Amino acid sequence: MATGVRPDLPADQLAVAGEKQAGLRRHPPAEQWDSWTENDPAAWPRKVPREYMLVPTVCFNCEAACGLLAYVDRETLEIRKLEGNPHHPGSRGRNCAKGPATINQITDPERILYPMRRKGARGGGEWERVSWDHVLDTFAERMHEAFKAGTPNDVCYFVGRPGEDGFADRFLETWGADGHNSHTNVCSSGGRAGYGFWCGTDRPSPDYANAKFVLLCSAHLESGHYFNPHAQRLVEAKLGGTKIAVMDPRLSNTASRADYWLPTWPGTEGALLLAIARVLLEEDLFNRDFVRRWVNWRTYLRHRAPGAEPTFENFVLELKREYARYTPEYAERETGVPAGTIVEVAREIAAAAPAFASHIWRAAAAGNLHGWQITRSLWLINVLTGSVGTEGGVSPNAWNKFIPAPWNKPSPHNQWNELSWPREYPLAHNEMSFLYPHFLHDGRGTQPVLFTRVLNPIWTYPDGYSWLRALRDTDAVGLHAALTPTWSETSWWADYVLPMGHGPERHDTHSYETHSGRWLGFRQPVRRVAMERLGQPVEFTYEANPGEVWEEGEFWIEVSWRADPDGSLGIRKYYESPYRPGEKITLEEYYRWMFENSVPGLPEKAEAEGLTPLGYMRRYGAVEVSRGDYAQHEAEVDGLEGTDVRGAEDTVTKRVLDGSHMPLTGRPDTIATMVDGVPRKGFNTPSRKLELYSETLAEWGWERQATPGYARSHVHHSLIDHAVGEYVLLPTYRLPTMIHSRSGNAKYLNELSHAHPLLVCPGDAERIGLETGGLARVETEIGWFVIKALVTEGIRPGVVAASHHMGRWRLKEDKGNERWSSALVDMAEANGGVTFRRVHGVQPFESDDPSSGKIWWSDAGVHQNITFPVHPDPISGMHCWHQKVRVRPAQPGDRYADIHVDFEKARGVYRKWLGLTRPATGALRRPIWLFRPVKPVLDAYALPDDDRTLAFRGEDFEARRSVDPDRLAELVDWSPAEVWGPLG
Amino acid sequence: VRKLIDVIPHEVRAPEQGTGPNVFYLGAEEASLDPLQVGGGDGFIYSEVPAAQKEKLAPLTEEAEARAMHDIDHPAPWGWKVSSYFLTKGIAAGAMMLAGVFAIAQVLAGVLALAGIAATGLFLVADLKQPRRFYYLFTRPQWRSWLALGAQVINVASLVAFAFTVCAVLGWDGARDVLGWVMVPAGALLAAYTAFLFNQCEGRDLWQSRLLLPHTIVNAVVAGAGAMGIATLFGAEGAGTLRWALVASCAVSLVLIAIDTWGPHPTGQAKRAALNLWRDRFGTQFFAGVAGLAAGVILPLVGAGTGLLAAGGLLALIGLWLFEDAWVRAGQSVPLS
Repeated sequence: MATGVRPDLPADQLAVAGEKQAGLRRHPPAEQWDSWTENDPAAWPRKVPREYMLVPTVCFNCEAACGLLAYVDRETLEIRKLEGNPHHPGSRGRNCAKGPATINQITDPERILYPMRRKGARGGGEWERVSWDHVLDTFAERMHEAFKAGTPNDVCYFVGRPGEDGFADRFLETWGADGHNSHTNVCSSGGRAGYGFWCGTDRPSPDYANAKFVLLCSAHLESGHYFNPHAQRLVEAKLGGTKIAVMDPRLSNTASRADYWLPTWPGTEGALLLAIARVLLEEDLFNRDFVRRWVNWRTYLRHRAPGAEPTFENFVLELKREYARYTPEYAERETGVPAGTIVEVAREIAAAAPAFASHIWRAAAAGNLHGWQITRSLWLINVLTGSVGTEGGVSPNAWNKFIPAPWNKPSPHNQWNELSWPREYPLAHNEMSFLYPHFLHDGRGTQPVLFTRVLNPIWTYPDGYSWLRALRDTDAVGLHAALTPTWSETSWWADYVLPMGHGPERHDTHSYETHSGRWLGFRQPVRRVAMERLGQPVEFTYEANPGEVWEEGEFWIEVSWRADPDGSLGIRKYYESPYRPGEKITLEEYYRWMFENSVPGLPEKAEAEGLTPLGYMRRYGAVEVSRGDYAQHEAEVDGLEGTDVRGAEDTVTKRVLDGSHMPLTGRPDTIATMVDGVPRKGFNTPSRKLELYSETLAEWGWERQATPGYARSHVHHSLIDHAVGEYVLLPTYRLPTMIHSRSGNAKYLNELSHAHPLLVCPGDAERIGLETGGLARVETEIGWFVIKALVTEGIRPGVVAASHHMGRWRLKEDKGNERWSSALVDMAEANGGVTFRRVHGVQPFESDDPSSGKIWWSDAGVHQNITFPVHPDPISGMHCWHQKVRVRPAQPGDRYADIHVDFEKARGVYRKWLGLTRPATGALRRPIWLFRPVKPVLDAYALPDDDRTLAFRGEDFEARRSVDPDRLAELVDWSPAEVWGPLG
Repeated sequence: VRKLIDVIPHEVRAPEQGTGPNVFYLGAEEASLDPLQVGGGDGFIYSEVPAAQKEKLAPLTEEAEARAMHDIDHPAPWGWKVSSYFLTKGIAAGAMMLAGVFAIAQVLAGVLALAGIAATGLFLVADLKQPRRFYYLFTRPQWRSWLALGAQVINVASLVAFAFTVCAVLGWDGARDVLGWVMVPAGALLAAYTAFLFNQCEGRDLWQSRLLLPHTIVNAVVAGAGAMGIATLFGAEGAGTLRWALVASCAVSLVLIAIDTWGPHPTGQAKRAALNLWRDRFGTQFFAGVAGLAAGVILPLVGAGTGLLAAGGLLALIGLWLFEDAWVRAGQSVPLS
């Protein structure tokens, strides 16, 4: 490691050498984890010692996968509390509020303890307990039918929070199914597409701890994707003098701690970023050598200035010409941020480079039409300053993430699922999951077997009423199992509700780009581990969990094994034990093989402690694989036989393209790029350079979007007229105390946070006629909701905002959702629409937990997402969460938390946005190099010459292609006065 | 730390308290250190506003530099039980002092003292967070807290009153007269220790007034004279003395209230608490209390009948409770953080 780099130390080494750890940094030493005694706090002031076995696991409450240490009472085998695991390289012994609150989720009196089958009609709310055997046989039979009939896509695994790496991909491949659908494009497609088109890897890994200047496009210090691991490194950097700029229309805690708060108008962030790029270019503050070596400037020049001599100087001239329009003054007019500030930030960035870290993941990228271009514009700054793969810069996440290969990985499947990967969205980052109900309503297909896993689209996704209608329709969705640790608005409409464990009740492996280094975390059912250590054998995890709460890993092994009872489908062989040939693999054997064979350095570390690799992971819950993984693009590549150097970027390309194993990202036939005559590994793009000019975008119909650019978002200020009550609604911001839809069962978290008032700045509040605590009606294109206002200067004028998380509801008093967090509502359907009215808010209730009788709050918030129409970005596929709304004081008869949605209007908006797309019309369904989960073989990419393809080809495609990106916003704009009548 | 704070401008919490700070703040916003600059209470950013916070923040809002966005509930720990304890203890202490000084209605005074002390004990124990632990006062006596010391004062006063009453009932006049002189300091101490108890709450500036000690004694006389004055309706002796005792004590109490409420306050918190007392939070109750005490001055002066004395006594007692309850709550009505 180079000098000057702040070492990323685990918690037990963070204290200065020789100094005794104290206070919150103190953790029980690992050698005492088998028997750790401390006094029972509930018995205070008496000193009653309790003996614990401390078993590490991994938190499952957000994506960050922090380490937890469970205190299992050796006498009762109860989990008494959860604290941080000091041996976890990502979280280093620290946690946010959500980690320790896992204990609430385990002991929640509202918990689903047994598999349930519906009685009566879907959504009727009558359930009966069934056995796991019955569940397995029922689903295995239907799966067997689908696999045997050669229609494996009839079985869909639709996942919200994955919470693991690789297990689902493997079982889907054993089924030969393109059956993966995921929440990605209500989350991060705008981030992924932006990073993906640039460098082939769709996530950034900022090296916060070593950065000298950090530009955050949102509230990463309090609620980022890897909130706790990132926040602690950001704070370390800040303590060392690092400056932070935050772009966010909301004065978040992050913005309030920043050196620069840049409250841009939503969707104009790209203008500010490109103005920074322009300053770097004009003031010659960019890293010429890095750009010359690593950017595909020859390709850029070939397209942008076809006749010009391909020299780097000509490229720089052309680039300056392209970005000349983004003056700081222009950016000020667009964003509202003063030009002088923009120039100042640009110079700070240049001075910090190459230790300049930046980050966008959701926020503006997820809120806006063309949001993925905001990501591309941000990355342009890293590229121009050479802050890519550097200490204190940003690396592709693949360098800082480790996914071990499992035992006997099947070959890729050969299917294409058009319900997930429709041809209108050939560039989407990833499945068009939020259009799924519309595709079902269109009659594009049906879903005979649906597994939803920790997925609550009726509540989380936009347009939940379209989901409700689709999931209720037994012709569209045949058999639906909700695999979930907690009741939800969606599980209510399932046929089976299958209780799955929380973080300390299941096995998974995890790895995330929390810093410059790679680690593997091991989640484990801690009570089972404790029982086994105490000599009590356990066959299935549900024997050790509360009730019969199970874990997916064992469920998938069992159901897959039963779906191929005689092995004739070729599935069963993938579930045979590596250690006991012919017999069914156990989950423990699955991980044992992985740890023995696929994790570099783990067998050696284990041996040094006299442990097996599995024993090591069971003991410590995590292993560090590497640290300081910088500049991997520079790695020299040998083994060039069978290759040619091709194309403008001198890409080292295999002469034979093997389409049977496609890499998750990147082409299967490129291995390096020549840089100053040396073959180097580069990035995962087709050229293996950083693609400033994306030929992929150009070839697929978006030539004007081929470089990082700025076009008006669908909420651009030119489209918003305050005089008639129009504002931008920002509904996505998160709280550090909440999980998307899985914190309703954590009493501590709900006591902390249970309201989400509409933030309105004072000037707007006066214009609208709102006061704090007053009710506002917020009208969207398909409905409205009624919410309380909070007048604050912490939100940019012209923007109103309400945080995500709140607005949980249930239809019956004593079941269907968590009473800690949900309101009882009355749902009335009429005239193709639905109206929800709150019967009562959160109330105290009787249960085994005395806390439930002491609930002091009643607010459960308002379910806003159900009133949002779908807004698919035509390129990234991202649902563009922001929207124009009309805000006015509550109307006569309105009550708090009223919701109304019109189904036909929702269908209309879906069709309007579908009209922006430029469908695949060539030979392929999708560029083969783009990332996609559970990637099929090359043959599956062939676009069939069917009627739909011919129809698309028959359209005037050039007319679609020639639409100015800036015009798209007008094509999907709407007028509240036309939809809901004039204000008055 | 010393080297750092020697050269860097810094802030501390509540500098007016003059306590040795353990934490120095560098570059802190003033409003984040001074709770008087934080208002709001009509809405928090992601929770409902707990009831006590709503009440505490509202009076500060108009002049606030910042608004509170999140907090847990900090309900005032002392309420009607403490105010009632104040009154019953006052009756006991006042009766003891009046009986001792003026040698009037001695059996009645003794019984009132014992009854008042008994009621005081009940309110005190009921107000403990863990009432079943009240016996700790006897099994684990300690001398640092006025809560514990006060309990011993109560024990002593009850012994004196008991002995005095027994002597008075049995007609042991010699012993009674001797004990009568012990009754005065015992009663005064019984009244006064509460001033030390409230004084010990150093974060509550309203209760730091130097007039608090005399005021508690005067108020005890109001309570004693009021209660005994009511008893004259039923034939108790000493109406003439009680009449002037009530008038004088109520008058002095009103003067002390006026000085303490509208006089200068050494700290912002005391000033804010006084505003809450008479104007922003407890104004109605405060003036009702003042009116009751005024009746204690006026009615006995209107005429010499026991009816007027008893009415004045009753209204003074009610007024005293209303005032003391408002004063106890106002003292806790200002956010400390």
